[in-house]
Amino acid sequence: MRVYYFLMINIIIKLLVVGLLLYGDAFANEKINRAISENKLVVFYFKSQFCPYCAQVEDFVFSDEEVFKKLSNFVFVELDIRSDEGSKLARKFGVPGTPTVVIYDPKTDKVVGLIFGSRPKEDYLKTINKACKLYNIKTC
Amino acid sequence: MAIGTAIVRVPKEAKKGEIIRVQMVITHPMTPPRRDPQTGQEVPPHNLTKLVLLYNDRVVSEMNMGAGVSANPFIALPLKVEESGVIKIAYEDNKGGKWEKSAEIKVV
Amino acid sequence: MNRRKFLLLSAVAVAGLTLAPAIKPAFASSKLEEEIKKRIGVDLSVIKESADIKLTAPTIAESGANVPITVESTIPVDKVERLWIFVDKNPIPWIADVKFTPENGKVYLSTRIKMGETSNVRAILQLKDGTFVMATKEVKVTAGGCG
Repeated sequence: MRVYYFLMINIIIKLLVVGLLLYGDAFANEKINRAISENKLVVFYFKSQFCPYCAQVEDFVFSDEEVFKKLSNFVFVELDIRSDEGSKLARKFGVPGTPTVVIYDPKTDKVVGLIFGSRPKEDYLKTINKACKLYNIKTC
Repeated sequence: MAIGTAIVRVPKEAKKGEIIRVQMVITHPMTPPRRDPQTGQEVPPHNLTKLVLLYNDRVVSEMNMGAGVSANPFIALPLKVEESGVIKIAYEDNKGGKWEKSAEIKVV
Repeated sequence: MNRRKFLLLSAVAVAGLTLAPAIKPAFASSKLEEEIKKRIGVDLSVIKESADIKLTAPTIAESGANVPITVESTIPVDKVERLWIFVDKNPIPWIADVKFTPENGKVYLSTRIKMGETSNVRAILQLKDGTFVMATKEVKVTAGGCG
């Protein structure tokens, strides 16, 4: 009886691992596809656990009303830089560390802007506004 | 460590009338009200709100705080010890969390 | 432009600059002043800087998420009601307040606070006689990141 249970759990775990490997990228890809269909740019936010600078940006920049409103014009994707998805995209974009925000045009596969570090919100607004202007996003 | 666990550091021994330093570190995220750009939602704050310093069950000091205090707060307060006893901190957060932690001190 | 016009313009500019600080519109109070009024119940203008209270904080903070501050005062603790900590430019300027009793022995607090950007940190001591003293320190918050 015990051997049977052990085998079942073994198979289930293997299926889960395969599933994750095959579909692990689903999260970011799904959001990128949504951005394309909604005609929006993507804002990737790369973070890492225990990084106090990420906490600072989340507390003071993303939570700021003005920044939050502007970000609602984009598809926002939060990624752990150490995850499979996160590390792959970080390599693609040349992300130096965390916190890093990458503004990305999914249609042309181009990086429109990149900000690294816990900068004051004005620096973030500058880069976001540049993207908004370049792409003529009226509500931004 | 679980949220609400604390480390309280006091000298093992002190002279009568000495002013010692009670040092504490409490595990707590201390997240301010946040807006999550991914979900578009407002995330309510989760932070310690009050800390009471007691000595042999007498209230010595009360501290009110918000999410402006750093995560996993380090706090040090002074205490004048006249007799041996138990130093206790009682603290709570804005989600109903209530905890206590004690340390003993010998006064010579 | 001709010399006379230039001199006149400069005179006006100088007059404007010297008078400007005095002409403070009554309705424009900063977020800090409003917060102090709300929490302590007094105007910032009645709180004076004093060497009797000392605030230690880094001039340049490594991380805005963790700025160590220490407050001490030579004022006897039995004359003290409460200590208040504020950061001018935080979305919520009030950080914490501590009630002292004689059993504390002295006025002292050490902790770590969050700062969103370069700003003044203020330690305000509320005394039992209704007066207030304050120490202010500007802390520069630089950008940082994790490799």
